[in-house]
Amino acid sequence: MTLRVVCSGCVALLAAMGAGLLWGSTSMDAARLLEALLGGDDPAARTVLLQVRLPRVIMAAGTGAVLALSGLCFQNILRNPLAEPYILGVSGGAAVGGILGLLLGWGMLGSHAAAFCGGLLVLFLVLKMASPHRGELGILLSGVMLNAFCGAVILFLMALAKPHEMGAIMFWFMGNLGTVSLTKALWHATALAPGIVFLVLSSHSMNLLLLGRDAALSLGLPAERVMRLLLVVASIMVSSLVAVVGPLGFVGLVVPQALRLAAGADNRTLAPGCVLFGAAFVILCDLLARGLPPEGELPVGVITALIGAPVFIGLQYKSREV
Amino acid sequence: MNIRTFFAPPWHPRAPLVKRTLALCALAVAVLLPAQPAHAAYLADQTGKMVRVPHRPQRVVSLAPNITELVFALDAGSVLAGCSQHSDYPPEALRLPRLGSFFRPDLERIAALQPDLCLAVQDGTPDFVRERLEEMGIPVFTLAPQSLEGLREALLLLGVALDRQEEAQRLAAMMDERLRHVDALVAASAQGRSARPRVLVRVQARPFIAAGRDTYAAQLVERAGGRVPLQGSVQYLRLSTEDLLALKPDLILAPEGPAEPLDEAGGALAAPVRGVPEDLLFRPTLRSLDALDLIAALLHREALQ
Repeated sequence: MTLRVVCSGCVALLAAMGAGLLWGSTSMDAARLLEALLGGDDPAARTVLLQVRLPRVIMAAGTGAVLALSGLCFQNILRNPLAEPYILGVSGGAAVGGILGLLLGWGMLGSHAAAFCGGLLVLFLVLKMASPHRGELGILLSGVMLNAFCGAVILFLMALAKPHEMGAIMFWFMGNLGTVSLTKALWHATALAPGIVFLVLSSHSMNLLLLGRDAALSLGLPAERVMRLLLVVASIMVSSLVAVVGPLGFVGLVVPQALRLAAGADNRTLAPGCVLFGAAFVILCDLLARGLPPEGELPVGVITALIGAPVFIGLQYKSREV
Repeated sequence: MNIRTFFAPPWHPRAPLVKRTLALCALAVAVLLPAQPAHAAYLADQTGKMVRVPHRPQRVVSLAPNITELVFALDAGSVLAGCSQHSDYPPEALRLPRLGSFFRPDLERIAALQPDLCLAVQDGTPDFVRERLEEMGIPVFTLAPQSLEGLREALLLLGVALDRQEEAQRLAAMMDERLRHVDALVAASAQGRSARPRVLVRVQARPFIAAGRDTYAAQLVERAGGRVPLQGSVQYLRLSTEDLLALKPDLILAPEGPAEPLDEAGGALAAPVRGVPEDLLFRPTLRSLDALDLIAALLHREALQ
């Protein structure tokens, strides 16, 4: 099963990457782009391909992989199918930090750093506030509460913003993958890769955690420590991404759930599947965001939810019939 | 390696390999470096940033409707290769390729046009768009025409950047002349009056949203001899009917346009509502002078008579 999922995931990812590079808001035929890629002297095609489309595809792939994988990780640790970075408040905390940075005029780097710190601060608070007697449910509850609080803070900050700041905030808040250059996109991908590998390699531990804390302990897994480590790694990755591309909902929920319906509950299959299909999903959503409107583009966050929710409901309905 | 071979020139057969490789690399870099435009000069834009602007740029991209309008006013419309989504004046601008909206420019379309100069606006064009364009080697010249003084300065700077100085000087002189005319009218009208008329600029009818004192529309009202009876620096305020009655405006100016038909008589309970074309009121361009004349005419009818 794992091999089948990985192979189909690779095919889906490659197809999505190909589509992401070939299609965009300007119509350039494949031959022209291929020539530019092989070092042709068409500056327009080269710039569009290497400096606009490629960084977007890399950022979309990284975002999809990280969000889907951390969604899976959160769902396993908290043993709740609704858990994901967005619902647990990590994305919300990062969003508050990012918007605060934008409003206080800290520049791009400053607001990225603020978003990163915001996400981690919320995770810290969630872990501190959770009642130890309620276990995973306590973490989930305090996460949901902090997320609601962050939502209110975001609305409050937006009410204070001036119209031109509002534009910048909405731009970032609804998700945008096109903000970084190729070099920065490669930097992000390189920085995220160890975290992704770590989480994929921890899939066996996630399987054990799914049995419950005591069962995992009895099987020799230091459950508490592993849980915290996985939460921290996933949150660091999510916060650093949200800082750059904005809070994207639904990916962390839909991709793991859809895969679980299709390939069973073994995390050793699901983890690599989430990386590959998550990346492909966000690349395709971004492609639609760029290509659907005749002028301009839609925020990618709109597309992830617009496609993610019906697809998920469809899968759920189908599984009910079985 | 002895001292003679170390100091030998790189093309000498006995020169060390490192030195020859380095020389070869330097040569390769010099040959492969993209040629800079023959005539280009560094020019400070309206934010004070030095930008390398080519001499007589030929493929210019405008990222805001008011900048598009200023470029056409300078008789430089022929150099525009593309403009932002809502650039609808003059009608010739409608024929230009659209490059995304004011807040959401489409980087791909801009890059595909290979412009030699990009005109952005402060407090409008997102910072990352400016950064990305510069990374692609496209010079970004930022203008800040958010006040009448800023508009005059932007016009002159744009004239220098597009090599249309004479036209820009002529337009600036015309602008000064028309402003003087309005100022004289306001001064004449003020003599027989105890207080300046209180004017609200309605941005939206339901709910009633008014432009605060920090907005461009409010500046036009103040220059035309009116007073915006609002406090604080909030740019757009939502006012209830009760607020409106308490503010006691003498006149409400409402944008007249396809998006906001004038018969939406929001605020009519508090004061007479008069329409001003939407673009004239909110878009900082030379047409703002028409708005100024219009508002002045509404406020100082007696002085005009």
